[in-house]
Amino acid sequence: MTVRCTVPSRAARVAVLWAAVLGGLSAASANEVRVIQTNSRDSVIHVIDPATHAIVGKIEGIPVNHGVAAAPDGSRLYFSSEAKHTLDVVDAKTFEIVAEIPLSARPHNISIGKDGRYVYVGIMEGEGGIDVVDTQRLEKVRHIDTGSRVHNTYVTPDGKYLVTGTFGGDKNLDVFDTDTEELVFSLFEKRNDDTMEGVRPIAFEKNPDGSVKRMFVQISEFHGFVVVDFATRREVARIELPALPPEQQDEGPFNAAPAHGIGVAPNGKTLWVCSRLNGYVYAYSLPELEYLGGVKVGSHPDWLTFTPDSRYVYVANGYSDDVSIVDVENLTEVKRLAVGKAPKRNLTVSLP
Amino acid sequence: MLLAVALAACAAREPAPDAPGSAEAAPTDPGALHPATRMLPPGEGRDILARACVDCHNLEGLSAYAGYYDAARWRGLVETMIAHGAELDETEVTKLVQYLAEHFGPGSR
Repeated sequence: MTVRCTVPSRAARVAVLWAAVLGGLSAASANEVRVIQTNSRDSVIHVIDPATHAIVGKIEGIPVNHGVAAAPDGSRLYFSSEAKHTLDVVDAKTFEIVAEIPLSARPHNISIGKDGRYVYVGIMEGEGGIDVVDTQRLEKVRHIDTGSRVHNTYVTPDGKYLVTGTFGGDKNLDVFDTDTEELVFSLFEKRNDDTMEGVRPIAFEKNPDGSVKRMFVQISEFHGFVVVDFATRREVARIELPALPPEQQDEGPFNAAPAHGIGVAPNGKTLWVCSRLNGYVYAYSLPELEYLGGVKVGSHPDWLTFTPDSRYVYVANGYSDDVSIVDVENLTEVKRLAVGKAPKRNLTVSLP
Repeated sequence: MLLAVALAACAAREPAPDAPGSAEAAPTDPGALHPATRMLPPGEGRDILARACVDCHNLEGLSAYAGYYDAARWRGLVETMIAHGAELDETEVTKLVQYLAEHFGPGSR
């Protein structure tokens, strides 16, 4: 068999070149916003297009997936697997796992530094602490001892601090300097000997310069959130979520967290808070913290994330295996989307 | 007792049964089992799960671990649950770990 090759004309070659250039530009400027939804009783992770509120992709092979983080350029996604005891690295274009990084023990939630160099993995088993994973070397390079089991880790919006919410510590909220990984301060002293006493999800309100103004902190056995002034490191308010009569409440157990899941909308105008107890998500104005209203969602809302325009909040419902998509302005649920078993953390990302 | 952890992330939707206070007293009729344990293979380990774990966990989550946890990892998880308030003596821990490793251990996927 012979193959005939033809040399393209100069004009054709120029056209191909332009097409490549334009294609490249198009690809570079056409980042796609996606909501990544983990499912903690499943091996699949769902990828949702917030423009259509539809599932447009799946990431498979990560059993008991818990935390999710994204590289700053959107090229990679990171997931903690409670079954594999790994941090899995996923190519954001192909959704294939490209690395499985062993961790010191069973992980919970994760966060990533602002420059993307390190992922901070909360370790819930044994002595707890934080595994620090180098995203260039693709290995765990350090372990930060916290003296507690770490449920959630966060990097503050300005990138300066690593914040943990933990169980079993003398204090259960630790703030570390991300440059030195030294402890800066701790809050939330242990109140009792309950084994699940500790700090649950945390949200951050920014100052105009991007530094942290206030932390909104959910704690064990409190149906609401605590307001902490970051500069003075003091609690300034404690806000309880609306109460419902018992017959209207969701079925337990609530694992000592009647309120779990909290976030500040990207435009900084509202704070949204999940109530597992009520099966509601509640909105408060910022900075006033005036109650705006609540929206009935699925069973055991557990976590939330916003679209970049702050128009919608996606609420992961841990018991009804779905996601409630809530219109922020109108305080209405616009869609309930079935996902995997026990949806857990979710994150809005911009993928290349 | 409380565990926001993995076994996982799945607390039971049904309240705990009134009756069984020990593994010996646990029901053996599948129809009488706590709903969260009906899908599990029979054995003492299932009875221990029914008594000690369903207050906080929907045990459907166990299958997500199948094939990944050996006995050592199951023991680590059970010990974390005890740290979170699960009430198990050492004999029960041994039996439970054995059961979990047998039915949800390597090769079970």
